[in-house]
Amino acid sequence: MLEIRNLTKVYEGGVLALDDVSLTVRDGEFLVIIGLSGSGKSTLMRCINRLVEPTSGQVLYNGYDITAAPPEELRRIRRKIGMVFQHFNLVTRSTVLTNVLSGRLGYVSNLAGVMHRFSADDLALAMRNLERVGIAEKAYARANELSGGQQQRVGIARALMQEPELMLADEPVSALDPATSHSVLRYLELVNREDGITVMCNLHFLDLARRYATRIVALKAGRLIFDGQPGEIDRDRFREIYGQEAEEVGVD
Amino acid sequence: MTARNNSARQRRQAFMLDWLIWAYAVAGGLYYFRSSLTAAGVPASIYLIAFPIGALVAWLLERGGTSIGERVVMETGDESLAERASQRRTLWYRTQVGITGLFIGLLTFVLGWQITEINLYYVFTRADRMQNMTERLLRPYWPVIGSLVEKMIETIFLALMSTVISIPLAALVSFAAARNIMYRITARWGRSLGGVVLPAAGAVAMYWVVSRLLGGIESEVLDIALIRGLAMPILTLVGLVVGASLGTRVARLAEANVGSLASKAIMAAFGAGLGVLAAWLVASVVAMVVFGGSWSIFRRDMSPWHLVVLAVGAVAGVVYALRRQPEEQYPIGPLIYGVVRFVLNATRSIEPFVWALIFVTWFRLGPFPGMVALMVHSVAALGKLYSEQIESIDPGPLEAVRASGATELQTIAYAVVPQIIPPFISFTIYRWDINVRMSTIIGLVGGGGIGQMLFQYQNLAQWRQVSVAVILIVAVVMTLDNVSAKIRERLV
Repeated sequence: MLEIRNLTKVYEGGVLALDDVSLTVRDGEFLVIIGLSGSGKSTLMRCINRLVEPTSGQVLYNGYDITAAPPEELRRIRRKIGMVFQHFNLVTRSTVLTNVLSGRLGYVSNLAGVMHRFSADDLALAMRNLERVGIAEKAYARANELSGGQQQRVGIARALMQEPELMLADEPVSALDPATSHSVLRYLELVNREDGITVMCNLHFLDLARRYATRIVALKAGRLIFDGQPGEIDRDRFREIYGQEAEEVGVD
Repeated sequence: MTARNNSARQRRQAFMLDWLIWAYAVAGGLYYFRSSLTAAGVPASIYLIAFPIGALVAWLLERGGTSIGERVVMETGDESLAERASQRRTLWYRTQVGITGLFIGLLTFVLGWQITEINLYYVFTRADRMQNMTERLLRPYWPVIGSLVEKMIETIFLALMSTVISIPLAALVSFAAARNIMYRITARWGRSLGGVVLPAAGAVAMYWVVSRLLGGIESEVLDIALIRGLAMPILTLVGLVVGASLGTRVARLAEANVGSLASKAIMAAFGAGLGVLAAWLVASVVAMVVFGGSWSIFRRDMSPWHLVVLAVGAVAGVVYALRRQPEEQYPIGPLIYGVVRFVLNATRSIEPFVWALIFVTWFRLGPFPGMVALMVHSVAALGKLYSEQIESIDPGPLEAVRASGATELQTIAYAVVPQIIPPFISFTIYRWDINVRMSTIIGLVGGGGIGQMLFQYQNLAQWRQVSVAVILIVAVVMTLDNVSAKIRERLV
């Protein structure tokens, strides 16, 4: 599905966010990326759909080099890659439905998109996706009237509008409480199992990672330091990833 | 002191600043004694002495401690804590910065007093001179209120129209003046070049054709002035559009055969066009400043040289164009941003009063030129306010919409527009408020509205009528102020 080769990102000002990361993501995986804040998890995700331009290295999507794609081609690839964000990134003044429909923009013509014109099929798809995440009755509410968990579910519905093959989730639950975290992650698990969408997810908490991941990789200071099964992370591994002082805390 | 650790550039900047400060001090001192200096027959060039003396003082003071320039320019990061603490303990009037600051401050105040010719003697002895006028101002002559209300309505509508027309223009411009939008935009070098050069060439060509074709025609039946006036902008625009589409097409050709001779030739031709255009622009500006005239005067007086200038431009353009590959991404967005910002700032810094003077000569006296003057200024002012709003929006939704594969235009429609509508409305109402106040001034130069009447009454020393006009203006401005505050409260 996705092959990341020697990816390096140096931000302006010389901060090395990713240091020669190579990684292969297989079809249908629920891959969880763990690591401390600032270890490069978000940058890695953003380099995949080029919200951040990598400094060097390649990202191959089904064999196609995303990093070298011209703008038009990039948009076509982006629409196959859904993304869910830490702070939901909804347009808070717009309705839930409008937010969800915006996930479909990659499929409509430039002008139709600007004019907010969507086909009946797209509208039906939007309602169906809202039903899937259980908030169809909120379709005409303004996004900022929703709770955090509901907003993130809107985010998932929006990403599903792209009919994606790959879903990037950038710390989707770190702004949510434990109970809501599980409900949001369960929706990601659902699309992973039912629709066969490959999921790449950044998580802070190791126990969440253990619970949902089929495979875990760990980043530390921009380097890939672990790649394996959830069960393989023991106490020593944990300290290696999170530092010697760290104690594991859990989310119920 | 700590200055030794800093870079040469910072040291230079600090010195320049100190130099400026002390040159100012010396010049100010000289200005204070200007009457005795003139009496002694000292030429005005004496002021030049401020520069070497200023440099000397700055140099001396920089050797003897932390000067103002060093304090302003240099980073304090690498000072040790002990040094900082010792600086803290010194009382401010014992430090060089404190003493210099106090001295410069006092000097400026004394100079200001002199230059503005503050005269306390008049303040206390001539108060009765204005009694006559103020008395009349306090007895408004109400019979004129009818015609004044009429003019006031004209003023309000003048402000309304100028605001309404400026909204779409300013909204359009503001996106081009928003850093967060424009700095993302790149285009292929070939298309950028073709998209600038050919439209410009097309516009110039059409302009030339129209002025040739319609230049000599006279007619009793047809309104030639109207036909020419219409044909000129329309056909120029046609030339622009045709040039643009042609430019993209030719550029695509160059992109398709990268490396071939044809591709290079196309790029070279584009570059030459750009160079000629730039050379013409620069030479025109220089000619304006140096010859007090324009390009045509430069061409007339310095005959072959204008061709040399254009040729140099063309060669430089070719070199510049061939430095990049045609399919390379070129940051056209920041360039547009810079140009639009410059034009907006220039337009905004010219007062509506001056714009009115210009448009009055174009459209004759009346409310119309006043409205256009206010509109031009409003576009610039609103454009800046709008663009700042756009720059301060939450970037999260933009990222999300972009990640779904949307185009830049769609991203703006979905993630930017919903976020900026409330502040836009708020600013627009505020601008209407400003325009009502400004339109009274516009009237002074013949821009219509109540200002015109105010000016007439004042010229005839009819203070009682002036009083009525002033009362009306104050009433309207106060009402509008309240209303707009209420509306904005509701919206934001």
